Amino acid sequence: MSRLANNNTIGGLAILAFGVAYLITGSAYPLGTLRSMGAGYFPLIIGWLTILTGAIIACRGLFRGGDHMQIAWRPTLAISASIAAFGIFMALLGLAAAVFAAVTVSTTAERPFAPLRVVALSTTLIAMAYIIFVVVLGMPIPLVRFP
Amino acid sequence: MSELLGNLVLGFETALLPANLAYCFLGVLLGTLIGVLPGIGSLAAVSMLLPVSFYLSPEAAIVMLAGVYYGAEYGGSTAAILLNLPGTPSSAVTAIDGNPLAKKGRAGVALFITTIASFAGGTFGIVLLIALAPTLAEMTLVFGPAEYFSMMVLGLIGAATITGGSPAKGLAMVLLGLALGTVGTDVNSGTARFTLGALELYDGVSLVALAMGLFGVAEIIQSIHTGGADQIRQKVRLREMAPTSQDMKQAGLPMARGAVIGSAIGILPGAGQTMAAFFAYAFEKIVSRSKNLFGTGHIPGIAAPEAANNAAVQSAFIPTLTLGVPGSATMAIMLGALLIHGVAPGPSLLNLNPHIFWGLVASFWIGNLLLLILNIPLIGLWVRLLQIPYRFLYPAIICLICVGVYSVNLSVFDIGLVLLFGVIGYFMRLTGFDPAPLVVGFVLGPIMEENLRRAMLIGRGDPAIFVDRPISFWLLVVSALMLVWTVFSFIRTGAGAPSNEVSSTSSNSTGENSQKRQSDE
Repeated sequence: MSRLANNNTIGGLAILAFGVAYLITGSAYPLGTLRSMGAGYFPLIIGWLTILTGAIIACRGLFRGGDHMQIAWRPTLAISASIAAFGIFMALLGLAAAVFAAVTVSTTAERPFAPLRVVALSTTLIAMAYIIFVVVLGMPIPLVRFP
Repeated sequence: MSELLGNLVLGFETALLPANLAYCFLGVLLGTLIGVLPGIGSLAAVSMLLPVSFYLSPEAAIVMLAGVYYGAEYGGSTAAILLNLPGTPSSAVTAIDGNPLAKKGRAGVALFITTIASFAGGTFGIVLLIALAPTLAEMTLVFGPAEYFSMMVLGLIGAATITGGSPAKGLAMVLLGLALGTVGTDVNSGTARFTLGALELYDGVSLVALAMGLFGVAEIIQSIHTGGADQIRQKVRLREMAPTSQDMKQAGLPMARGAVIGSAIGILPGAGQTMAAFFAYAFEKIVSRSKNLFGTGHIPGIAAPEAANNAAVQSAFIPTLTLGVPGSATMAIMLGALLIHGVAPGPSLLNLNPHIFWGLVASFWIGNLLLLILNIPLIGLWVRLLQIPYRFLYPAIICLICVGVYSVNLSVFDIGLVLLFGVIGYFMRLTGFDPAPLVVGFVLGPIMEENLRRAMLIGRGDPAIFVDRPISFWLLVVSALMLVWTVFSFIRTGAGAPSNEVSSTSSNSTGENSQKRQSDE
């Protein structure tokens, strides 16, 4: 079982699954004719080709094997959560809170957690982001937003 | 000839006006600064400065944006070499050999060579722009939708087959890119496709979010896991920055070939600097006598793509300015900037606004010269970025990616996309897929579909139009040969063995090289 769960089978099946989902969603759009192609024609071609290549990759994984995958859960979750935190805090409280949240959450990717470093880094980055994006580039991003 | 001289004099008179010169300098400086920040490439840099340019005169605005563009293109390769975090797809190619050089402690040499290569490539592109722009309108009359479509097929197959070990995986990435490119409103019928009910997707997936997720975020996740510190800890001494005469000798011919390939590809609408860099790299691999050195920090592996992408940056202005057809996403933004200023690109630009056209051309060369002067003394500053510990760097990069993506559309939705593509990009790395061909497919997809539809309309529904037209026919023949050859050499060397396919780019390239060498015998 574990021999079959290699990078080729998993990657190939993921591509195959995407192709199937893409083809099904795309079947809702009008095909038109060869002469006057509708919105669904190009996606139809792409969808089938995607399924074909996904199947080829998965078959190679099944019959000839591939590499074992080792997922780094801690960095993956920490970085994902920090980007999500940035988005949520940006929408609610503005740039300063968003940068602070993103820095705090992202540093949990590594141990040990260092509160002093987080504060120092956040302060520097908030100042940098404010100067570059708001002062120099003039982007209308609020430093602090009141919900 | 005297007309050309008169035009050039007019150009330099415009470009050397103190205000325009100042904006040119500001543009290349800001462009390099933004571009050198990992995860933020020329596209984001130009988009970010677009609102700023609205306050300037048309000439100053375009001169500054163009400066930001090629400044960031240069800066992007700096980040690619030092941190293996390419800001733009085109600098992903530079990272293949540039980052191994930095890991060997030769980052300074790599940066020096890329600066020289960029200047040489850029200068060649500008000369070509001066020579070709006025007569281009006639030349491209031969190119119809069928030719454009076949050209893009060739480009995509090239992108899919040259980057990694498995051609099937490369093709899968290109197809995934094409699929993502269809998201949004269909320009022909107005049908909203694959938006899954999200209004934010009606304009399509944000290229900035896609590129930053796939390259920036995914790379950070992987670097934390693999201890990204190993490429950062080493120190670069000043005397190691000067290239040896052997380095320069190795770089010379690839630079020249890169400049020629790059400017030729840059001219073709739809084919931007990414394709130029990919092709130049692939060509160097084919002509090189030491193929197995590519991917391990080989000087021609950075000189050729850097010269090519900077030559393409300049020659990409040829179709944008003379035909109004942008060659890349960044060119499309430049086109938008011109239109906002009430300047319509196209054949009339040369006649109605010669000071803008020739002023821009002159400013390109001045800008490239400024970059050369600016960057060689500042190489030490960029190298110093290496000495910042990764634990300080990655939270900073995450914040810059987030702020950068948010600033383009002021959209939290785009930050969600970065998160999504970051996770997908990490998964791709784990499974041995290289995301660079995906971005090429994504950018070319909509143009390709458009040309397919037009060609089929012209051919009255008969696909034979693609083989009846000679240029299109030969482009397709070359594409097919490229595909068959790669697949054949991949299968013949028994590439099914797991060891030939690992997720790191360098091992992939060496694996592929050894296969190519065997198939040559």
